[in-house]
Amino acid sequence: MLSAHEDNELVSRCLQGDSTAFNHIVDKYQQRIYNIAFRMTNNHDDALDLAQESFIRIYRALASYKGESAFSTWIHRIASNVCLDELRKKKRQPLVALSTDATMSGEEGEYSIEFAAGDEDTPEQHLLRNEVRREIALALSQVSPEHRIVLVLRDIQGYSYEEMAEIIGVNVGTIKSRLNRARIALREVLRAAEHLPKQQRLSVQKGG
Amino acid sequence: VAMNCEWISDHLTEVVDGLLTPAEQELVDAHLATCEECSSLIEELRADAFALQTLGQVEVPIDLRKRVADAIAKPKVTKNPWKFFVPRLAPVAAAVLVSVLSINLVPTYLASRTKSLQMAPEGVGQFQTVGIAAEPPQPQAKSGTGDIVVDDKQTVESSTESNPSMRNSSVTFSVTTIDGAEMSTFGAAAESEKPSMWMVSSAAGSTVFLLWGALVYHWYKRQ
Repeated sequence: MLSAHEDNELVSRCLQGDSTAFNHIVDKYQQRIYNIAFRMTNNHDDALDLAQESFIRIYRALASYKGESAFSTWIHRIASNVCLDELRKKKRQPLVALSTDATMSGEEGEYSIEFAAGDEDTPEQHLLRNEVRREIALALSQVSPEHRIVLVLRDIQGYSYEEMAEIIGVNVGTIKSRLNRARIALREVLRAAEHLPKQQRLSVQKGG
Repeated sequence: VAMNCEWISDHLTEVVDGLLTPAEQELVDAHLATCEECSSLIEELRADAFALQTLGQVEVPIDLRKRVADAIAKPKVTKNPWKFFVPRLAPVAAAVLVSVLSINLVPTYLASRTKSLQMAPEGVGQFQTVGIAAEPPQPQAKSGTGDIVVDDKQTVESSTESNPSMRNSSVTFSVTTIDGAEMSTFGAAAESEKPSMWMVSSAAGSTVFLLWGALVYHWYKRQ
């Protein structure tokens, strides 16, 4: 547990007033926190705001971190709560606000949702893969934030049920049943989209 | 385990993630081989999970680190209402309280004092005081020895002249000694205690206080 030991040392340095120690914490976790925020909002501007807000809250709560869970888990819990709180606030606003960053232009579409580069795809495979990614990213933004967070943590960030239970603060059984419902909810969004022609499908999901 | 569609639908995520015990996995495989509905659902869910996995990780914007560092370098904005309001409102509240009390209580006191001071005829070495019940003893002058014995009440009275709220009242007190005879002049000219004046002053004071309070509240809200 070198990593956990390192975290605890960074936390105590922060609490002693070492301002560089928190930079190390940010460097270490920003990739994971930003990716959760990005997948939750489907939008880089909002993701940047939420990731920033998460780190500020983490910084201010450092003194209350007592080590009852791993520091990594604790950080993820704060970040998830920041994202969920913001999305619940936004619930009353139209969904189009969530995907303003997802701009389409032309048949192929310049699509600002970023995808990890595929390894050695043929151009055809590459196109097909991007198509699938585009649709799944949009579908993810259509399910409820409570379902989205478990899908993001499990399938995109790769956490175990046990880790997710600690992050979300419920027991493993609850995580499993929430994942069951989340998978079904995502499937229903995709199934509904499959009944629409491609162009219309994307523009409808974009919020039109 | 009774393996059926219900069991599958209760354990979807474990089936999709392949997190079953070998015994369970065997039963699930047997069920899926015979149940078209379950097997196509599981197949779709596996494809969805795989598609989510292929989204992978995005790059973090380079300014996140700097934005965080800048934000935490700023002094914390306190959101505790007590910590915010008490230092800002306490001095004003105290000042308003003192001024409201003084403009309401002091004139009443002074008015009762000036009434008690009768105009003493000039050249007569004595003057009469008309006491009011519960009032402190009035300034006294004694004749015969050439001394004027006054008690410290005079200081109180002379200080009231500088009270700006007593603008239309004046209490003058002069003692002259001519050839061993005391000549005392008391001028007690309280035009009137105008109650409306004090009400206006305290209303103005309260208004200023309320406006300041509103300003501080607005200031707090903006933070």
